[in-house]
Amino acid sequence: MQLFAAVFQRHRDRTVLAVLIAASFALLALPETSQLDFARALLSRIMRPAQRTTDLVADYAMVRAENERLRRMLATLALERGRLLQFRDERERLRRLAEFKEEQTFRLVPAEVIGRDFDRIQTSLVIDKGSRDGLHARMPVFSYDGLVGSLSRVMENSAWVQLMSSKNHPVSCIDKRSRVVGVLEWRHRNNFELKHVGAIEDVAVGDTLLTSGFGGAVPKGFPVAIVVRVAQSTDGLSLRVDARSPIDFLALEEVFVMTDEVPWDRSLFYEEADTALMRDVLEKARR
Amino acid sequence: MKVLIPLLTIVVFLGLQSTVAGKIAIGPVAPDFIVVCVILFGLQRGPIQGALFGFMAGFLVDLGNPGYLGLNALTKSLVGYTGGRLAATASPGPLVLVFVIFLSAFGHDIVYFLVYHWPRIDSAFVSIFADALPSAVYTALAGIVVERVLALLGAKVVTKVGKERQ
Repeated sequence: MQLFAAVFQRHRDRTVLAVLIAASFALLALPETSQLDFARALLSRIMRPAQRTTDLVADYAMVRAENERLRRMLATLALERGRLLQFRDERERLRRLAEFKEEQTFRLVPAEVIGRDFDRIQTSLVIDKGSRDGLHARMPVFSYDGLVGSLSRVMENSAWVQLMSSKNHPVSCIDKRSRVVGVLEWRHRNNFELKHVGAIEDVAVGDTLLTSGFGGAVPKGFPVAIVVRVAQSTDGLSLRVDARSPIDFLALEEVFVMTDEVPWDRSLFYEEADTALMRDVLEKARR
Repeated sequence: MKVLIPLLTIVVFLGLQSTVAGKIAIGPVAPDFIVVCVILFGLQRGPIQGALFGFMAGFLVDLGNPGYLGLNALTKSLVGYTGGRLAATASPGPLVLVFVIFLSAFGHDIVYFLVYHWPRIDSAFVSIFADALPSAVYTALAGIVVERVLALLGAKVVTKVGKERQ
């Protein structure tokens, strides 16, 4: 004991550092417990007012430009919607003829990003919707451009989104063109690698990777990334497939949580109120 | 009071990191105000307090990063300790301080990415050269601004402590 005391006295700073390093590794090896959940919830609650205030100030300056952009987007969407309705009706008729199962669509809950990691590597976001809005853990989260991640922790009025751009969030994907299946793992920024693709599989640069629906957590058919490089791996048995997500994970401001399925004929496409609202907004924009 | 001031400092810099850093980021390159805070604290208070402060700050950062609890505590303890050791040997002026913060931020990110990407060393090296290097430069520049602001506010940050230690 005296020996330890003497060593500590002589190398106090190094001993403290060694203890802290050991504690850090112990924390890294620790499973997530409910105590830590509580601490994280507390921390996000403490930081939320500060983040909201600065976001409000920044948002005020961006509102005008955003309005302009949204009007343009709305006009484009209105035109596309008209075409989609025609295609949908035609498709439904064909499906009924072929006796296919009724197609399902999904209910999306829009949510605002109100917090981020304090860390520079952004692996998660905090959104302003929680269990009160019907959200549950593992629900998939999307942006306009495709899959963003999934809910990792849901509190009453907020929720943590685990981004795809983190090591803990592999996504099962399917090549839109060739239907080759693999697991997309994050590498760096918005770069990913499609794993478990055999050397003779057909994957090409420019192919779109969609969610495969395997595992049931994320529904099938949503865009995830674009293939940017295909090469033989060193083992000669598989392909090294690099892909890039079009989403800027650092700049996300609003996301959509997919909560549940809605039958096709009850989707928002057919709501008269929605159509009228769209027309009003477009007329105001023209004036 | 001895515990309250470091705690308040961490909270202020956490706020700065979570609000300002994202707004002034150039693409994916953002300054790390927490590293700045820890290195300045280490330079001011020495290796033991620097390491403890780094651990505390890192742990709070880790609370917001599910899945990697302890990673920031580890790297920021090392940064705080290094800052403290440097203060014992030299009295850095502003230019040296820029260099010290750059090296600390870069060293911090090297350890961070190696542990984070382990065992994918290739991914770690891509992140180190693509993210850590430009971020360290940005952090160093942001650090000197923070140090000057603190000096204007009357906070003893670097040079005085260095002289006292000599």
